[in-house]
Amino acid sequence: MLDLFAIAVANAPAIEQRFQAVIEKMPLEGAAVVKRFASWVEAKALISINVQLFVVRNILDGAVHQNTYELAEDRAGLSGRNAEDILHERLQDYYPARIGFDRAFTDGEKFRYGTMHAGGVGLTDYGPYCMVLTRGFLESLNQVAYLPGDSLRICLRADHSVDEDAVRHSAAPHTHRHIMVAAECSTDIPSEDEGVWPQLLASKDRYFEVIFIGEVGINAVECVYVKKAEYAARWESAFESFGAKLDPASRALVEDFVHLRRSVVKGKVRLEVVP
Amino acid sequence: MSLRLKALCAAEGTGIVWLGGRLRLLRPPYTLTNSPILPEESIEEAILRHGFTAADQEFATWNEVINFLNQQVVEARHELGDNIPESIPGADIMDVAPEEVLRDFMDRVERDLIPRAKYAHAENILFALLTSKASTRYPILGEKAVDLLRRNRAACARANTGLSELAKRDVRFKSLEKHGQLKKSEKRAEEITRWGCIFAPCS
Repeated sequence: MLDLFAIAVANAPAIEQRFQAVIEKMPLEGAAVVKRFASWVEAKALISINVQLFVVRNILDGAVHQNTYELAEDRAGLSGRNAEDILHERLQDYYPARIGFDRAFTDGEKFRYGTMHAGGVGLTDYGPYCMVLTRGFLESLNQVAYLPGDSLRICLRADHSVDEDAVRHSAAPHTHRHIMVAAECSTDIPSEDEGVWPQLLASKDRYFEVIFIGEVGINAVECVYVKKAEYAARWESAFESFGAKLDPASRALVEDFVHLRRSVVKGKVRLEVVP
Repeated sequence: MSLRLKALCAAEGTGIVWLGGRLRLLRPPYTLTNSPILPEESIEEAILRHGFTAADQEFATWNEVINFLNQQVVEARHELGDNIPESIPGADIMDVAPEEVLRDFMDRVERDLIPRAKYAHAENILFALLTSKASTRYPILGEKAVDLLRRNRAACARANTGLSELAKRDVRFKSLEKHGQLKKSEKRAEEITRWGCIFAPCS
């Protein structure tokens, strides 16, 4: 079995060398921008996890974030069914990929997947609520590795076996995350407009994955980011609920949203609405 | 039309539906504007990263899919010991709404609901605001709600009086009123006037 986090630590000198090679090839001005960007990533980047509203609600209620395996175990406990059967049922055709990657690593079933974040709402298509974790939580992690994209695309072969060379080439430890990101983005960093730098970390086109082992409860959450359109849609449903009975799914969402807002009012969590 | 549900998040009533070579995200309140088209490969991301469950179920209509997703939410939440309430108390909504949202609600009551004779909808909102902590937190909005409540009730009373007067003048209207169809008929008459004919436009 592979140890992802040990591989990432061992990869530090190679990442450093790659970064230096990138810098040396650039004109002085460009190199300065890349270095400045690297420092900015080191200072600003946190971990975010995009989730559905009911997940935020559960965490606000004292639950912890569940990965695929924890979710299956939880459902198995409730239903008395076998967790592996539940995993098969949930993942179906995607089971071999998920299992192929996670089970190739020591403690792979404890992996939690996040994204590097320094602003914005992250990847919202399937998880409209972007939970950003605190710097204290990030600094407390003993097991964390960073990848320049989706681990399943970078490190998994077509036969669903892990490409060990790709892992050894790509994984960065926490100490070298910023220079890995800066080297990857070196040709795309605008020097004038630092306002777009957060998008280099996480956008529809590219993101930097963070794999870590650690329990994510409400104390680990710095802030929840949500798009203005999603926020407005929830208030619209709340408005409609005064005029007619909503369908169960809409009612459930309004209730979860009210719960989130109540936590915001009580100062339990910060909610940022972004355009 | 054949709709194929490819993945779902049962606890939230969200589905990923394949229709005519396109993948669409279906999420409450299940309106077209709220249902973005997504790239086909993103379904993998939904299942592998966001806890969606893979599915492969066919439906004949959007309503069938929506009913199925609604049923899934009820079952999933029940399984988690979290039953969906029949309604959300209005004061609870008002208590947690920020000032700009409350102001928007008041504006819409004034601009849309009262002129469109949605008196019950308007009254529910205004009453909820006035019985919540929001009316003391934002006294100006509280005053506006009192004023709107008065105007809403006056408009409602005027409409009812007008309808009753109309009903007294024509025996056919009495029958409509008796069967609770008078408002509906009045609305239909307005539509016919607007269209200039008795048929609704095709598009």
